[in-house]
Amino acid sequence: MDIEQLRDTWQNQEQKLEATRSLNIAILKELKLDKAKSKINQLLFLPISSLLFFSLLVCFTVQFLIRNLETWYFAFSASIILFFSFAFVFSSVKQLHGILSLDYQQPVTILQRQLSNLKLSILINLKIAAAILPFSPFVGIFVLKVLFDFDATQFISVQQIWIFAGITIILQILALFFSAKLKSKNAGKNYVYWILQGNGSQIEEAKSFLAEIEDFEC
Amino acid sequence: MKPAKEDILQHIEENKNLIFKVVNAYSYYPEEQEDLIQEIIINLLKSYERFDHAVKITTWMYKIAFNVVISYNRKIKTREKYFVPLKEKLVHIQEENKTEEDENIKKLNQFIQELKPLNKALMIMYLDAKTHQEIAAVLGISETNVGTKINRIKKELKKKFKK
Repeated sequence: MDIEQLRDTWQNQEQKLEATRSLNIAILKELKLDKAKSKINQLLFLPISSLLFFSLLVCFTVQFLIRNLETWYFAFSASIILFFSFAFVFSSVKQLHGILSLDYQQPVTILQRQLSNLKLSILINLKIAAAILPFSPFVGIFVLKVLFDFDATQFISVQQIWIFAGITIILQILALFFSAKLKSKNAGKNYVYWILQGNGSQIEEAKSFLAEIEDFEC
Repeated sequence: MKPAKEDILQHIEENKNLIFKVVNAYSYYPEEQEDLIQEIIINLLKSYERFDHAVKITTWMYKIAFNVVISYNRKIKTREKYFVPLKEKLVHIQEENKTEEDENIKKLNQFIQELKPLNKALMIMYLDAKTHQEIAAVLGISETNVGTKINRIKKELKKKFKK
């Protein structure tokens, strides 16, 4: 059988498909599209809530920083919080832009690439979270001051400061390790899957589909 | 001038086989096919107001249909979450006809099922006798690339049907 015959056979399949499928056009005419749940609306929840939370945190932290400029450890803690809040705000805006620009009318490779990149954006959030780790004692100082108006440094001895420094160095090493391991190429590995708590399979799928798109475009 | 919804409904009715063929190539199970057809049609209805009338209606319909089925295939696990329920069935598919396929169609469908999602889309459009220009526009690749890939697929098809 030659290719043209195959094409004819394929096109003749239409009659069979038409015989076995029927569209209920009456339902379509009455269908209220605004009531149909949008996929995009579902995807927007997380970046919008993150954006709101971290924007509020930025505003609050700026005020805190201004009020506590004279105390170096409060000012430093607030600066750390401010820096990472900005990183999360930037990441949320990027995700929102990605989601809002999704359009099924786009060519297949373009839309599917955008979808893969969105799935991979979870790695960016985890990298930011991993980078906060070494600064967690300062985050603690900030939280205690904000929530309980408690200055944790008044109760820290020289020995505790050394322990504090040691923990910070260990956390720094851990943060660098996790940050390095959170590269997309490691997304399929078991330990990264564990860190991502179930999002690993999605990331693995996104990476392999990106590779498939690249291969297809060559 | 007809209202936009009447227009798109007419296009859907005229080109419903395009949707059926795409869905048939990406999904085997009738229930899943019904869901996919429904999702494609809802996306067509929603997107029609932004449809660029300079573009061929079938090019636009292929883009939406392939994007829906490929995206669906990529996230089957979460499909229930995003499925749009309707009171009545929008699509009805008779299951028993699967067994009536002739040998060549069976072989051809098997060949298509084995292809990767993007190659599957290319193959369907090629079999539907679409131009390289239209295939390139739907898939977002160059016409030269379309030509190269079609030649490769033709060779594979010949091999398959020689056996």
